Amino acid sequence: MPTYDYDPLQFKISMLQFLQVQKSYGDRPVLSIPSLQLDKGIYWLQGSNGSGKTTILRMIAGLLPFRGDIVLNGSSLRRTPVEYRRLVSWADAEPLYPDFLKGRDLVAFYQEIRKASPQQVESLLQIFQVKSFLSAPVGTYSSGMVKKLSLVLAFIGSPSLITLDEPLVTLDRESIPALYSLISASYLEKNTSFLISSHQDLATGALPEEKILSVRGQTIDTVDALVPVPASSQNP
Amino acid sequence: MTPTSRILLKSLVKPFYRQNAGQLIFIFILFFGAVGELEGTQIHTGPLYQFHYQYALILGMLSSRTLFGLVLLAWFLYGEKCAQFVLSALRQPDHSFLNILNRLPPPATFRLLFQLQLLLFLPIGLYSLAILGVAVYKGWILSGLLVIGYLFAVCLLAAARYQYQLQHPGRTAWRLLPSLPGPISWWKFFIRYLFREHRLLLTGIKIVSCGVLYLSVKTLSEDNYDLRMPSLLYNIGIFGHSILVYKFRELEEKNLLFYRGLPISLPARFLQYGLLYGVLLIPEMVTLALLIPKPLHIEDAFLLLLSGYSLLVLLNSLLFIAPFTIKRFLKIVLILFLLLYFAVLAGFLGWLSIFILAGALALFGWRYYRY
Repeated sequence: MPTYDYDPLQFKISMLQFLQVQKSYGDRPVLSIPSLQLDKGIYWLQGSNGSGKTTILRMIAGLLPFRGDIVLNGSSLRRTPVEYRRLVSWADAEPLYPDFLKGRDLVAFYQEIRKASPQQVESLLQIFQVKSFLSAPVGTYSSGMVKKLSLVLAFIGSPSLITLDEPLVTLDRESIPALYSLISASYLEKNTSFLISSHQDLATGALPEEKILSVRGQTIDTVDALVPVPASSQNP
Repeated sequence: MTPTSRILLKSLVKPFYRQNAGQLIFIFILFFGAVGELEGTQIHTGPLYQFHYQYALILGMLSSRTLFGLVLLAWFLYGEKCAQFVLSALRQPDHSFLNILNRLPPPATFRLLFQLQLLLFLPIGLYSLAILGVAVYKGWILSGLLVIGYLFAVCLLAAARYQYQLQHPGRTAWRLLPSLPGPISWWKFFIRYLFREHRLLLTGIKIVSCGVLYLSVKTLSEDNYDLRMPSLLYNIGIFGHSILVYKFRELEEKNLLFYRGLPISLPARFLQYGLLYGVLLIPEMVTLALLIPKPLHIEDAFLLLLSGYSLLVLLNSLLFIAPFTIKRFLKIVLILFLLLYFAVLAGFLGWLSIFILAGALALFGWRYYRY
């Protein structure tokens, strides 16, 4: 297994570190991030369709293999995969779960693995108003209901970083402010960072310290594939 | 029945039986349905034979210390299963209304919780009465009393734990067994998937696999004991499972992708697949159990089981190498079958099975995160 040199001191400062990250689908390279460090914060990941936003989020969540390494709060995805995965959580743009499972099966499953308290789970169920349909099989849910369930699952436990891929898509109007409040509270009270991809505008001012990341091109071979943009130059 | 007992019945006893109905029915069939040949006689059915069969089973249990110990251990594990269900429910917010039981005098609460545990133990309780009857009939009073005393002790201990949980809602009542590494319910998702989506396919595969195994082994006799042909036929049945293995992986990649992102160690993940394929082979285990000690030797039954199990685990690990099409996967299955064919002919099935199991483990460890 290749190793990637890093300065441990640096990781105490930066939250997320990409080390010579390269991702290809077959022979087609889709991402190349030689080096990038992100501090704690709430990041809005922007880019055109097919630019690799979902791929990046899935790689950070430990769902997709790639060359290189990602380090989160000092835990390496490659060297300490369990510890790393304890720190990161993820919600997909179009979440898919088996039709025959019930929402409560999945919630209980996540609660057990992420060792979450019943109180936290109860609170999340109330915030996203999912209790009424949790006992029904997922196959009977609308896309919005599945989305809410995936968001509940992403927030279960105490991750340091939550990646949300298109969290606003299919979400009803009442749930969007609730999601913003939850993100803000998690960031301010629990120091949880967020990487959010969204083609819809995130509400300006609804999130504290929102920063923008731009993903450009599919065959990225530049160092600044992911460029942190100062908050002052935000242009949602 | 008092209103309080009724609430306990509805909120804890019924959900427990509902959740475990499948397993309880399976155990019932195993004990009362899988009655085969006894002492070389023809297959018998009917209540009288069932009575004799159970009588023989209980006599065996009461006269063998090992068997007796195993039965008591099984009851203990069942008691722990009940206890974990109730304790987990008591910790849930939607069961917090049960804290009102603390308003009752402690002995009254304890009595209610003890009754609750007896209801959860009903299947075992009824069977233990039959054991007591046989023990009294044979004059083995001490063994009979030991069975009943043990049952009461397990239930009393469970009731004490429930009361502790009720009186200390923020704490966790003590565990009698360490928890298994990793989530214990992951493999159940696949079993549920099979029963929901592929019942017919599963039934067909099991009929072929168990039928071929049973019929081919029945042709064996002490004078003409050659396991090679039954091994080959049995492994054809096992290879028939490859389509199920493929469907499991397909489901995982499509609808259970989130599992890869959860903080679970590789050994715990492998254990989950191991459990899944162990459960999948239960019908073959029952069939093998019906065939020992005659005409099938017990060590050969273990050999057949090991070879089938290791093959399934290997097929699962192979699907982490690359996203094979079903056609390509079946080609690999065919090559594996040819390998196995020569191993059977050469009498190396045991060694090959151990090698395959080790290979499956290594392949899984190497490929899981790289797939």
